[in-house]
Amino acid sequence: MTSQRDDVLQIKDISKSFSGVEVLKSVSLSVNKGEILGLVGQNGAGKSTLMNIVGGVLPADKGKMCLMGNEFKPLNPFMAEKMGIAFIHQELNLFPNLSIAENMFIDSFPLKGPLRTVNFKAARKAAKAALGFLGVSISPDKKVQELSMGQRQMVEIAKYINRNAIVIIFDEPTTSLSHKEKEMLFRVICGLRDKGAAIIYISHILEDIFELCDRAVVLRDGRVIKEASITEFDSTTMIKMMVGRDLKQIFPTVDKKIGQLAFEAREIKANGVHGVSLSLHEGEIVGMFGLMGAGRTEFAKAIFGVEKIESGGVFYKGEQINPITPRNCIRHGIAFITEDRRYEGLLMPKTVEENLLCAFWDKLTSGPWKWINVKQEGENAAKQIKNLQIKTADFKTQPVRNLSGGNQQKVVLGKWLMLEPGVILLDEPTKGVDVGAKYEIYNIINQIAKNGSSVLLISSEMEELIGICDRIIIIHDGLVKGEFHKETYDSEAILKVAVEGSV
Amino acid sequence: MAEWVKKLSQYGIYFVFAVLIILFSSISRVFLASGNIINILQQTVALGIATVGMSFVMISGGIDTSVGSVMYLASCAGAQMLNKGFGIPAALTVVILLGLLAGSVNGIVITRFKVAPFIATLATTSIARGIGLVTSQAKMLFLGTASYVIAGTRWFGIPVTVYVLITVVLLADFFLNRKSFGRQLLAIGADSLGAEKAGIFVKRRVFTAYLICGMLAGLAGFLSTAQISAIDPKFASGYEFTVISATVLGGTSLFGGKGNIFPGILMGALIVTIIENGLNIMNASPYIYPIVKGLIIFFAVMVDSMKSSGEMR
Amino acid sequence: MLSKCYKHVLLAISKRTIVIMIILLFSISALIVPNFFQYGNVENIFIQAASLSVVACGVTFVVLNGGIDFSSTSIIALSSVVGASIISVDRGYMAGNPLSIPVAIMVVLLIGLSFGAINGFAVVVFKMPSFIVTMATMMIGSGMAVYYTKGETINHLPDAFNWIGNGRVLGIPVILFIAVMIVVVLHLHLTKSLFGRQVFAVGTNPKASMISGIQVKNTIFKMFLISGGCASITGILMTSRLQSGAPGLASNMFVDIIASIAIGGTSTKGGSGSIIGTFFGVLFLTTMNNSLNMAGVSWFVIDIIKGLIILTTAIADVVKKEAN
Repeated sequence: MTSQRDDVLQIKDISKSFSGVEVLKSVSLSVNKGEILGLVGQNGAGKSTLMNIVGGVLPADKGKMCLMGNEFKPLNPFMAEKMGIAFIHQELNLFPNLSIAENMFIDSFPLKGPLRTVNFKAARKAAKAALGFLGVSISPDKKVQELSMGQRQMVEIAKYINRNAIVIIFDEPTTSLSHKEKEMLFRVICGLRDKGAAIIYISHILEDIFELCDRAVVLRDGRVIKEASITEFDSTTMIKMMVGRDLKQIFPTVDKKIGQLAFEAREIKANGVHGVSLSLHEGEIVGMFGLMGAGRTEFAKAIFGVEKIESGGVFYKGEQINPITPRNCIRHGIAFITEDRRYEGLLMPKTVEENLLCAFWDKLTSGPWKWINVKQEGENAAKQIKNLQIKTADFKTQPVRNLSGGNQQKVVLGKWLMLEPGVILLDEPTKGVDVGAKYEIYNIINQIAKNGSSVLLISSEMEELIGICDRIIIIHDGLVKGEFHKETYDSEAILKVAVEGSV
Repeated sequence: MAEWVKKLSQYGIYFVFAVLIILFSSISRVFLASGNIINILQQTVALGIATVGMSFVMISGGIDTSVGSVMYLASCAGAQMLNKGFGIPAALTVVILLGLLAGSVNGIVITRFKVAPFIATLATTSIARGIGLVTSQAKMLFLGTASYVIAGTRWFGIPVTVYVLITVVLLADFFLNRKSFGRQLLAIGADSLGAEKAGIFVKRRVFTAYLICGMLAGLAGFLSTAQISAIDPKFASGYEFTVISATVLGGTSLFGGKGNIFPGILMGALIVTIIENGLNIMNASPYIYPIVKGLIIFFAVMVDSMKSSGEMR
Repeated sequence: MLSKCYKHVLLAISKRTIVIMIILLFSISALIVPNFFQYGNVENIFIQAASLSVVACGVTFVVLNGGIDFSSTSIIALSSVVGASIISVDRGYMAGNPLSIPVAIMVVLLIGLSFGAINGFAVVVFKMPSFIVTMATMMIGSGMAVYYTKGETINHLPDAFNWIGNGRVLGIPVILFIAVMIVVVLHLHLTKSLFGRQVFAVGTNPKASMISGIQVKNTIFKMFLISGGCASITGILMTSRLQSGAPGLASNMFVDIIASIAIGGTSTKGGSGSIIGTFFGVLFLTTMNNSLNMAGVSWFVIDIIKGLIILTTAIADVVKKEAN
């Protein structure tokens, strides 16, 4: 193939599975010296997993990697870093209470003198040089907490300059940057490329990919669809490749009627949400698609009261919900299945029964002392387990953390369904769930809608939205940028709106 | 975060210091007398040294509530060594070793066994005091003349113990600001998981912080017995609280990642001592002290908490 | 009905190693310690356990949230002196008044609840760490107690009051009745009431609990109220037993409280534990106190042992959590 260029990093047939689900299928790509390779794909395409393997966070199941011609198999992030991989994550690892120079040398300060004291002068000099290399001039003595996001990102990059990085990976670096800061970042990245670094740039903003990258790789469902020079792509074809026609999931259908307006969110403004309105009808399943960070989860959290809402109103059957708190929303019949079931949806060390009932206890009480009817507890839990076919050895004693991902998600669903909610907000309900359980969950969603409840399904899986939703709304940068009805579903068009913000 | 809170915590301490001096000196002429100033300095020594130790632990995000008991244990051991004629250097060595031992127990339980600091140090409080009481058989320990030497010796009119405090403070400042240990400790206090990711040996650094705290507690205990003629079995009982107050007042945050030796520690220790001294001179009812102390620490920590977003536990 | 209770008790006992430990302890003491079973010694153990169990069970609620309540001992002391100052026959504010005892009890409860409220407020609203807040309120409380009586004790309490701590009904000490009743009420509350369920949820994961509609702040606040209230009740019991109000009452009790809670199986990280466990922990601790005492071991050596118990149970708790 192209092995005669100076390939800095070569990835050959890397495969990786998680709990039986294949996430990367024989992926091969390479990056050369002095080149920016764009890595493009939808959520779940395998970009982060692949980079985590390169960065030493995860081991590959099959395949091999070569760095500068030598076999490369990092056992942990430290090793990867030592060998020259700089992985600049979305969440920066900086200490706000320390200066830039200190942050850069925190694990290996330059020392001087017989007492081995920190050579601040040398650190400052090196820090200034690294920042200068990036074309940035901030005093290295400034504390990180005084810097803007863009400046902090520069510091994070500068950390790796000093470590002689051979390959630099940028993972969605522009999400929290202003326009000016983004321009500066691009200048810096191009500068690094010109000085010989091999750069992998992951982003969902296709405009940026086209502006910055020399070559690009499109991943879909864990496979490389195309790897070529950027000139061989254009926006439309790229989106087409990202979407594809791999229909492996079968979706259940159900006969249902869509009724009256049930739920309304008007002009919701919150952190990451810049004015979103939504209406749900009885029996309707509305999908919310968008890229990571577009504001979907923030929207859901805002209307449920988990995060602060800046302005906007939430109405159920015409009545305004005020104040917007989870308890209040629940009282009105709204349920919220969060994206993160480990830390927000479940009480991991507690039993299946406890988890199923933790939103329902109020309804099982009697008397001024609020005694719980233990018998009813067990009955309700058992009923839910039967309804949802939750596989558990003993619901009264088995801790929920011992269940499979799919069953855990069913427990979360079960908890909320017990309240017989009129409106259900689902945030990535099938994330980390196996194919069989996914089908069961789709069935459950269909049944909920058939019974007259309204469903908001937030998901990054285009297929599943097309499979069961009556309508799909697309969120881009905190605003609703498009809406598609069942009859006019077009996966490429949907992705285009999500990625570019317009049709 | 409200600007006034930030400014208050930065400069408030000098303001408070000045207010106290003015207040007490206007109430009593004795306050600023040279004899009383020497008194204040002497009392600040033990508190200051213990506060330095506590700062290291707090900066790393932990806490050590065994300081009072370690002081007792050390002072018992030291006093008995002196009484048996071992001389100051030998006594001092034993005291330091005991402090290090206590610190290492705390350190291991907290870093290796991951027990929450306040529970671990609560346990060592009982153990340390218990061991101390075994050596003193729960009786008053009367000190021989050797201890008066410590108290009485003056160099250029200032008690020698004050020079010890100054040395400790200078050394602490050195370790915190000029050695990578101190900078890494600050990083650990700000974000211990991030510190681990960044390649810092978190466990080792935190362990060292507890070692330092224990050692300085021992030293503080030993020096503070210089001023008294007998060690009561309840000596330094609850003293950790005073130390924590001085540390927080001096600008070190309970939540970790923030703290300075100069001038924070000294100011904190001085203020606490001055308040006690002043109340004493005013002949205020001694029963007021604990109430005043409690109120001070309550408000100091309240201000500290408003600046960070802690959990509710 | 009775057989159901019996089955319940048996089930509770069989699940706990602590009970085995108590039985072991009793057996060993019986062999080693002379006079262990004589002169009402065993009854003495239960009477001592009575007071400790009420306050320890109250503090257990706070520990279930991963916090701690140092102020309990001061609340006991303050309750003691304030209560005694109202009912005392020679110098009390309501001396001789038949209503003095009920009034005193209400005032004292109010004190405990107020402290609990202050602690709860500081933790929930200002997000201050509970160990510092309760340390501060402990200082203030004990300072107030000493200030209130200028360090003296208040004697000559009415017989009706003293009966609470020293009297008997059907041969069983009244104090034991009261304590067991309170422990049972607390246990039932924790295991069978809405609040109890919420306590466990909040202690395990406050964020998930909030999303599930539980009012986290209210729950934590109530935990501190219960702790304060139990402490004041303990103050009443201990004062009655002592037959005088003492500002230094319970000053050394805190280690016993924590050790009982720890050995009773409640995790100091929050989210799991039980009232019955704490009760058995109290029994174990008082028995140990008693037998070691009678065997001639000095009180400070016993303190060392208690410290070691806290350490080992805390370490064991972490090891157990990691193994899962």
